[in-house]
Amino acid sequence: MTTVHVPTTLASAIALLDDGAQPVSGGVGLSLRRRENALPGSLVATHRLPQSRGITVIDGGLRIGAGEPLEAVAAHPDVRALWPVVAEAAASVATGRIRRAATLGGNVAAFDPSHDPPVALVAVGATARLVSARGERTVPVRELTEQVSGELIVDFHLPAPELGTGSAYEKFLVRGVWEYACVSAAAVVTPAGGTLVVGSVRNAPLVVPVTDDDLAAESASRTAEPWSDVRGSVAYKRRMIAEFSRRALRTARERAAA
Amino acid sequence: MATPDVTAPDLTEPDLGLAVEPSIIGTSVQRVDGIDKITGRAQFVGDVRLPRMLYGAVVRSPHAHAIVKSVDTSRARRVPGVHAVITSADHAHRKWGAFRPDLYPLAVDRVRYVGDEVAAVAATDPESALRAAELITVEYEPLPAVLDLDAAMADGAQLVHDDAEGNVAHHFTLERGNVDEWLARSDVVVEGTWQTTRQWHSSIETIGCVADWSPGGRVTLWCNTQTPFLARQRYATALGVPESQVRVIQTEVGGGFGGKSGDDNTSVIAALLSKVAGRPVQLLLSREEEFLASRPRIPLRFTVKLGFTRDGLVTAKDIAVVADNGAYTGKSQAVLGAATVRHDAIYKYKAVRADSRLVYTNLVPTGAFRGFGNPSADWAVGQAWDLAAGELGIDVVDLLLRNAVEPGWVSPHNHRIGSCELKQCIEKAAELIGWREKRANPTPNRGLAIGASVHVSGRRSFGDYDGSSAIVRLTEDGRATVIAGEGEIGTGARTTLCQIAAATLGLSISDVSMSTADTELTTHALGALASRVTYVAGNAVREAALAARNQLLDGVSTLTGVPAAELDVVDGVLVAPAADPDLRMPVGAAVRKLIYRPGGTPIVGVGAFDNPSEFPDESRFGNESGAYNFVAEAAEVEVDPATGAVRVVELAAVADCGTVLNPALAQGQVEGAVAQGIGMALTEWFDGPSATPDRANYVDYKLPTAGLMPKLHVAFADSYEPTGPFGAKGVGEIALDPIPAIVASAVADAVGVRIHELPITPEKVFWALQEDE
Amino acid sequence: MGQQVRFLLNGEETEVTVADAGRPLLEVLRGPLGLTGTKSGCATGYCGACTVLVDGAAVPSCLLMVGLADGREVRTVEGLADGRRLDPVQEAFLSESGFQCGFCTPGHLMAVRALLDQGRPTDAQVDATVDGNFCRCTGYVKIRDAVRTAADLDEGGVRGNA
Repeated sequence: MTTVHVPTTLASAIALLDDGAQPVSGGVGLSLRRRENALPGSLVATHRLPQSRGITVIDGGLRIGAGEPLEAVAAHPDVRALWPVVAEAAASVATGRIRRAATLGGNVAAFDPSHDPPVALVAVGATARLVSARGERTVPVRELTEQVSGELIVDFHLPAPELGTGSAYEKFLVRGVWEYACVSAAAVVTPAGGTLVVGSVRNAPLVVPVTDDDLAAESASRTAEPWSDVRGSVAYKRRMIAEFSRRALRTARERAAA
Repeated sequence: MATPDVTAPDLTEPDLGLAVEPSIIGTSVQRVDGIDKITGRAQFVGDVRLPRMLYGAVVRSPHAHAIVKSVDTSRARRVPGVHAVITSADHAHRKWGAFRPDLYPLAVDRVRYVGDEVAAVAATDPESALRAAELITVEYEPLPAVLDLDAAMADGAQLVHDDAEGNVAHHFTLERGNVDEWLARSDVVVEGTWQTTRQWHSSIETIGCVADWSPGGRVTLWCNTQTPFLARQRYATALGVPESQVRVIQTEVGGGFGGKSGDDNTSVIAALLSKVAGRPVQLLLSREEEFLASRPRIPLRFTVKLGFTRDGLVTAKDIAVVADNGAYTGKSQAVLGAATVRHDAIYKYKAVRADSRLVYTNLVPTGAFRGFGNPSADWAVGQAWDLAAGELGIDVVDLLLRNAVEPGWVSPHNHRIGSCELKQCIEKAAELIGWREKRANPTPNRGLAIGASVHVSGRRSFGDYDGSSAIVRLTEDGRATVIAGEGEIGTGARTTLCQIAAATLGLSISDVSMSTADTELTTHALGALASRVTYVAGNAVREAALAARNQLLDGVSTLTGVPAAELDVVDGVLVAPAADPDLRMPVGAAVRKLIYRPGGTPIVGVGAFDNPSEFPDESRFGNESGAYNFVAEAAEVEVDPATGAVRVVELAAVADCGTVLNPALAQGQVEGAVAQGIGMALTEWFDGPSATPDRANYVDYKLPTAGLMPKLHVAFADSYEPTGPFGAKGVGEIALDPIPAIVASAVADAVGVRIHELPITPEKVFWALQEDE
Repeated sequence: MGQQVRFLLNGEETEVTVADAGRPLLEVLRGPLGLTGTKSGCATGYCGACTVLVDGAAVPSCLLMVGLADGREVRTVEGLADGRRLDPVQEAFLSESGFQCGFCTPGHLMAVRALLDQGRPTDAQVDATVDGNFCRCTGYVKIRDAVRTAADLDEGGVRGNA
C-alpha cells in the first residue's frame, strides 16, 4: 500500500524524503516494475516543485529541470539548438505518450543501461544537482550510478558547447518500431576531438575519446559489452555499435561544420 | 512517410433478380455497431460486471516438463477475499480438444510446457486473487523436455504424451498423380527447406470469460469467443456436463484472428472457479499470460521440390512437412492439413505428393491463426516459385500467369474452382506496383517480388456440415432484426449481414439490426472461422430475409388483393407499380395489419444454407469449400546492407472476393492482413528456444506500428461468385498469406540473399550478406 | 484507511479513496469509478489502449499512479462526446471506418483529441500520434484517414499552421 505525497515546496519534499519516502516523478518505471518489485510505502511526487521544472539557457549552457517530461526536453528549441544529441536521445524514448509521462530525472534515476537520455547526458558532460536534508551536491551524470536514500535529483546542467561543436544521437531500432535500442551511440565532436558514448551495454555507458572517428567507432565496438537478446547477438551488436557510432559521429561532424 | 493509396474497388452490377437498393450492396455503410465502439459503450468481456462477481487468477507451470508431485493450497485459501481455489481435484479428468483430445482443464500429474495451468483462485478483487495464486506451492519433479522439432523427433526422445509414439500427434501422406515421373520429365527442378516460427494473434483484447454457474447446475459463459457454439461443445466436454447445461453468450470481441476460437482453458477454468465459489467469476488473461495460454501460429518446416518444363509450366510438387505442435493439439492438426493441400489450388500442378507430420514439443501449444497454414505454406512454396522463375529465366509475373488456376479447374485434391479471377489479380497487382517500370529501372538495394494465394469461403471441418441458419423478423415498426449465432469479432460481419438483409428486404440499413450470438437464443452457427461468415452466413441471412419478404408480400396480397408477384418493397414501403400505382403501404403498417387481426401472423423468416462442398477424406481429398477466394500481392522492399534491416516500401494487394459488399470493410480486412503479414515477416519474434516467450510481453514481442506500413494499394478483382450472397465470397484471411514469402523474395531480389527461416531479422540478412561477400 | 485523491474527471470534481495510491489510474477508472471505456491491453505502456488525457496530454493510464493524478484534469472516452453530440474525432472515426474491433479505439480517439487540441497537425505529427497505439485489425490505413478527416472537421483546431 502506497501513499503518494504531492508537495509544492522543495523543503517539504526534502522533509518527506528524509523521513524515508522515495521520490517519484512520472512514475513510469516504478509502475512498470510494480509486479516484480512492490512500490515503496511512501512516495514524493516532484511535478509540482518549481525547482525541478523549466528549461533555461544559463551562460550558454542549459539547465533542465529533472521533472521535465522527456517530450518537453525533446521539443525544446534551445535543447535542439545547443545539444541536439540530448533532444534526439529524449525523442527516441518509446512513444510520445510515454515521453509525456516520463521525466528526464526519472529516466536517469532508473539507472537502466537500456535508457537513451543518460547516454547523451554523459556525452555532453552534464552534471546533476541532488538535494537532501544534508544539503546539495553536484555530480557528473557519468559518475552518478546510484541514488542515495533521501536524495532528489533537482536538475541537470549541460555545459555551453564550445565553438565548432556538433552532436548527434543514433538509436538502432532493429525492427523499425519503437522499443529499447539494439545499440545506441551519442557523439559530441569539437575542433579538438570529441566524445563517443555507447549505450545499451553492460555496466555504465561506454565512453570513448575521439581523435579519429573510425578508430573511435572500432574501439567502441571492441570494448563495449553488449548482451545478447531478442534484438541481436553480441557479435551482431558489436558490428552495429561500430556502424551506428560512425553514423552518429558523421552527423555530429556535419552539424559542427554547419 | 508514404501515404496509403487505397484504390477504389471495381464493382460489377450483376443481375440479382431482386429489387435491390443499389445503395446498400457495394456501399461502405456506417457500421451498425459504430456508435458503441467510438463512445466506449461497447461491452467487452472485461467490462462485464455482475453482482458478487469474483476475479480469477491462474497458477502456471514454470517448467517445460515436470511431474506435479503435490499442490499445497492452504496458504492461498487463507487470503482474505478468496472464495475458491481449484486444482485437478476439482475437474472431471476429461481430456478435451477440437480434434485430438489431449488437454485437461488443469494439469493432472504432469505439466508439459512453461505456462501450463496447474491451479486457479477466485477472489473479490484481482489483486487478492493474484496474491493468493502466488501463495500456492507446487512441488515439481522436472523431466527432460523436448524444446525443438529435432529433439522431439530424435530416437528415444522424451515423450510429451505417453500415447504419442515418437511424439507424433498426427501423420498423413498423399500422392495424386505420379510425382516421380513428372519430376524426372521436368527440365528444371528447384528445391529447398523453409521454416516458420510462432506468431501470436495479439489481439489488443486478451482472452477472457465471465462464468456464472448457477446452483441449478447450468453455467452461463460470457466469452469473447469467435465460435460460441463450437466453444460450448468443447467446454461442455471439458467440464464433463451435457451441452445443454452450458450457455455461451458472445460479448464484444476485441479482435480474434483465430486466437479466440476456443482451444484454450481460460473459459473452462472460469467455469470451474464459479462452480466452486458459487458466484460469478471473471477471468481475463494478462498480456503475459496471453503469450503462454493462447494458441499461436504453428511453426512448420517445409521441404519443397518443384518441377517445371523449360517453357515454365509447372509439373509436380513434392513436400515434406513437420510441424511443431507444442504441448497440446487444439486445431493444429487441421492447420497442418490446410498447409499441406490448400495451396495446390493456386497453380495447375499435374501431380503432388506430401508427407505431413505433427510433432509434440514442450513448447506453447499452437493452433489457428488467420491464413490457417497458408502463410506458412506460401512462405516455402511461394519462395520456391520465385526461385524457379530465376532458374527458368522467366519473369515471375509471367510464370505465375502461365500457371494460375482458372474457373472450372479441379485441383489434385478435388478443389473445384468456381469463380476465379486470379490472373486478373496478378496483372492488377503488378500494374499497381509499377512492376514493368521498376524492373526496367532498378534501384540499388531495392527488390521486387510477387506472390499469390487461395483461401476457402468456409470449410467442412466439424463433421459433414459447414452451414448456417438465420431468422429475420420484421418488426411492427417496419424494421428488421437478424437473429443469428455467427457473431461479430470486429471484422464488421454484423454490418455486412445487416446489409444483405436490408438489400433483400428493401429496407434502409439503419432499419436493420442484429442479435448478439447466444447459444440459448439464436440460431446455430459455426462462427467466425475459415473466412466463412460473409459467404455461408450471408447466404443463410439472405434466405431468411427472402422468406420474410415472401411472407410479407403474400400477406399483403391477401389484404389488398394485389398478386404477390406484383408487389415490391422500395425504401421500406410496399408498392405495386404495375398493378396498383396508388398503393403505398409502409412495411410497419403492413406488419401491424397482419398481426392485429384474428389469427394474426407475425413475419418471421427462417433461412439456412449449407456450403456446397465435400467433407474431405483422411488424405484431405475433397472439395472443401463451395467458393474459393484469391489474392495476388506484390511488394517492393529496401534493404540497408550496413545493418541488414528490411523496409517494405510499397505493396499492392488485389483480392478476388467476388462482389465487394462493403468496400471499407473489405479494404479493412486486406489492410489489416497485410500488416499482420509484415509483422510475421519482419517484427514478431521472441528470443529463446523455438521462440518461447521469455519476457512475454510487448517489450520483446513487437507488433507493426503505423510507421512500418508501406505505401499500400488495395484493389479488388472484377468478380462474381454465383453461389455467394449477391455474388460475394470470403476475404477475411487471404491477404496475409503471401506477405512473408514476397518480402523474403524481394530481399533476395534486392541484395541476393535468401532467408529460409522466419522471421527475416536484420541480423540474418546482415550475416548472409557478409557470407556472400 | 486510504488516501483521498481528487481530480477533475470529464469535467466533474471527483474524489476517490484508494487504499493504494500507487495503483494505476486505469484500474481506478475501470474499477471504483466504473468507466470501462478505457481499455487495458498490456498494462506496460506499450499498446496505448489505455490512453487518457491528463492536463490535456495523452498518457498511458496503466503507468500513471492514481496518486499522481491528484489535482489534475483527467479526460476519458466517456467525456469525449458533448452530450449527444459526438466529438469531431468520433465523427471522423465513424465515417472513415477507422476501427474494426474497437478495442484500441478509445486510446486512439483520446490521443487524436490531444493532438488536435494543439492545432492542425502535420502529416508527421499524425503519424507519430498513431504510432503510439497498437491496432491489430486495421493496418492503420483507415485510422490515419480518420485523423486527417478529424483535423478537417475539428472546429476548435487552429488552422493553417501546418
